[in-house]
Amino acid sequence: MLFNSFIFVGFLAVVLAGYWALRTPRYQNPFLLVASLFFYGFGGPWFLILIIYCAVVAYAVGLLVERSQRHGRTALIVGVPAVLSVLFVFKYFNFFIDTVASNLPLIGLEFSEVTLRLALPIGISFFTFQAVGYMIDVYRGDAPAERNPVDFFLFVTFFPQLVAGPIERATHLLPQIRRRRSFDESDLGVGVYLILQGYVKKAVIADNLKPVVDSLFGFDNLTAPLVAVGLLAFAFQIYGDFSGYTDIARGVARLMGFNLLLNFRRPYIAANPSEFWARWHITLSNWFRDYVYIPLGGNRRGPGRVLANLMATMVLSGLWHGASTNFILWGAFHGALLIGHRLWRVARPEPARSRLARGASIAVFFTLTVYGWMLFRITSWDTIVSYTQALFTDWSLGHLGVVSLFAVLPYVLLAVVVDVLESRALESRPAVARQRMRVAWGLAPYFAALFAIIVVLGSETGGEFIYFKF
Amino acid sequence: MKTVTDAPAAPATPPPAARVWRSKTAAILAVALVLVAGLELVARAAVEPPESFTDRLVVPPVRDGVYLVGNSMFKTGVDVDELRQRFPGEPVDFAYYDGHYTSLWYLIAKTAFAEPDTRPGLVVWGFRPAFARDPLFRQNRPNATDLFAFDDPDYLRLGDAGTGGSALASIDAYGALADSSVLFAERNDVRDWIADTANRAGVSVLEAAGAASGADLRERVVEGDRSVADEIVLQLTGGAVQLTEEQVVDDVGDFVSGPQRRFADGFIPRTARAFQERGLDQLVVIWRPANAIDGAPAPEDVQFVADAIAWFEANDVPYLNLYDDPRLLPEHLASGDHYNAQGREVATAILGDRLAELGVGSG
Repeated sequence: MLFNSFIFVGFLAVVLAGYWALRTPRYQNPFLLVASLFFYGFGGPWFLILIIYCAVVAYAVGLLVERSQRHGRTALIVGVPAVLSVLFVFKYFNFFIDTVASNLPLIGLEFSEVTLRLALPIGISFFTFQAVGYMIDVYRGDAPAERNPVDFFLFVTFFPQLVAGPIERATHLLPQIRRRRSFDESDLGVGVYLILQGYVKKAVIADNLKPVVDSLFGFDNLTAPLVAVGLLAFAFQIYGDFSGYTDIARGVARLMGFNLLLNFRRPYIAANPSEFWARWHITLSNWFRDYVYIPLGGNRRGPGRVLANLMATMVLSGLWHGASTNFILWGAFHGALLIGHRLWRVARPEPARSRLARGASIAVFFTLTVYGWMLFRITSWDTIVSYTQALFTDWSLGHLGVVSLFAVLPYVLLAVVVDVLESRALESRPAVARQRMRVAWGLAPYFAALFAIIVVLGSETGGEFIYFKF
Repeated sequence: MKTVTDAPAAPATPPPAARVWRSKTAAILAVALVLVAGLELVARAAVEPPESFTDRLVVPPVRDGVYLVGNSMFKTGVDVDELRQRFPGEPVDFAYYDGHYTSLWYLIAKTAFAEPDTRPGLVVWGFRPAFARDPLFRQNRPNATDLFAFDDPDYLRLGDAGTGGSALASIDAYGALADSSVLFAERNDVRDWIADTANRAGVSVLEAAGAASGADLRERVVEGDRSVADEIVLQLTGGAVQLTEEQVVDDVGDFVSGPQRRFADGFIPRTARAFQERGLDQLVVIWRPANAIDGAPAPEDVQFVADAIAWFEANDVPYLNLYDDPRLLPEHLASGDHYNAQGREVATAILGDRLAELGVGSG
């Protein structure tokens, strides 16, 4: 079920009415669990088996780990691969077999290719990572095992964040599931704010940029101005698409008294790659930091190892997005940026503090980020090479680049305005840490404006969110 | 990093529901809704409600000559300039509505060409047999043109009968919104205005910078009917592809639904009769779709075409059977059933020959 569908609006209305009528978690949680399973199974009920399997494994491992450290270690060693195997089979198996099949002839071997042609269940990377994170947290003693199966299954399947995050932590979401939720005027205000803002980002910004991106990237022989405009449009399309989904998810959860993790914080004003990953898909960055980078040794095992850890983590992060060479390249590109930045910081430990220097850093890093989106968006290596060559050698068709840029600008500017207003409304006051909105009458025209923008400029042909396939 | 979501939980005891809804936030939301309603009322006052659909049907006055009425098949399949060159003494004009089908031709036949100053010498219209499966009025986007109202109970009855799929799928939420909100119904005009303003700004920047291409783009994109995307396609293909349509790969599939109708139950014979009743000459083009070109025509399409030809011959309706024409080949296809520049050249030549047979250009 898509957030940007009329069916979801009806579904949400029924869920909210039933949820608040039930009053206590004892009744609310089973109700939410059923609603979440219905939400996920709406498009393909067979995939429910996968998510239930992952939840059962993680639930059992959590209990075993808590019962006995010795058996718990074994349970973890079995449980984590058991969950990740679902991800491997459904997401990576075809890629693995294709890669093996295409490379074996190089060493004189023939391979009879047997490829499982399986549909990719939506959100599989999100709920498997959430389940794996839970098992490790319990093993490390960071979170207690959840004994109530309903509460635990709700943790894995909670519908607002089920298919595209944010990737929640046991220490953050499970306590909220256990306790009685309240709902005050700030929840209502923030919830509505986030939902409206999310729909503007998705239906207006991302979906109106999509045709521009699709039509430009339908050609292999673009010139530099057109590549640049296409990449700029895609940078804001993917930001609107993914952060819009996150905003809607957080807003919907907020209307039920839940506070989901922040996932985006104006990523395009990042001045360096470290800052970017503290602003873009924050919950995935933190997941890889805590469960991959730090266990690999993090910053603790000497400079060479740090750089290797950074690269390994980012390549895995790229691979998380999809079983495709271009995602690995994208991860490696960002790994290289992180390594470059780290070396730069070693050479110049004192960061520049002037506004001009920060502005220049933002401009340079934004350019690199936007180039990186090419590796994310374009799946053909030949096309990536062709576009990259064009950026350095072919600046013809500049006049078409200019008019294309003007076609894209209204939606880019809208994204900037929405982000700036959000930062003022939800982040810039002393109450930032609590994300409590100061309820001001000025919000009324803003809400009205957001709603009118959705009605008038929202695209009805946008379709799925990009991150659903990850 | 400290994030705004590291927040402590909300208070343990919830306030009473009644108190929540009396809160200031609820009042603010109510004010926001009132503002939206106010905006809607202002828009209603600003937008002139159409009196009837004939007032909104844009078919320019035309006398004599050839008038083509069609959808994207005509847009990508007929080179109007080529026809004008072939028949220099005959005005050749057209009105294309992307994504529309036989129901619209019926509507146009009944209304637009009924006006005394809109009397072309010959009307060319056509269909693909596959789209007889769902003669419901449909468009690529709701209200993409200003033609969406129907006053004919007979039309509505035909439409109802064609509805297929589940009850959920049949809910036309966008249509209902368009009916109830002027803001929603007018949104395509707003988008077009934004795109037009952006184009003008871009061209003005080019002109201010002294770029020679500025004037050319102003003529073609701002004042002409070409889009920026069309210009990009034209340049990147060295003129081989004229329209964006030709390089778009359909990603949503076709939109045909429901069982195929029998020929006699659809709009095509009604449309042909409507032209006959108004004393207008016509030529009906039966398009050759991709599956026929690829040698795997749908059996129901073959039957439909046979029925159509039998009916046209029995009722003296001139037709052009491209469906069975082997001159249209796989390399003539662009996207879906649409033709590319080569296909357009072939189809236009065949159409021109048929028009000549019917006396066009003979004085």
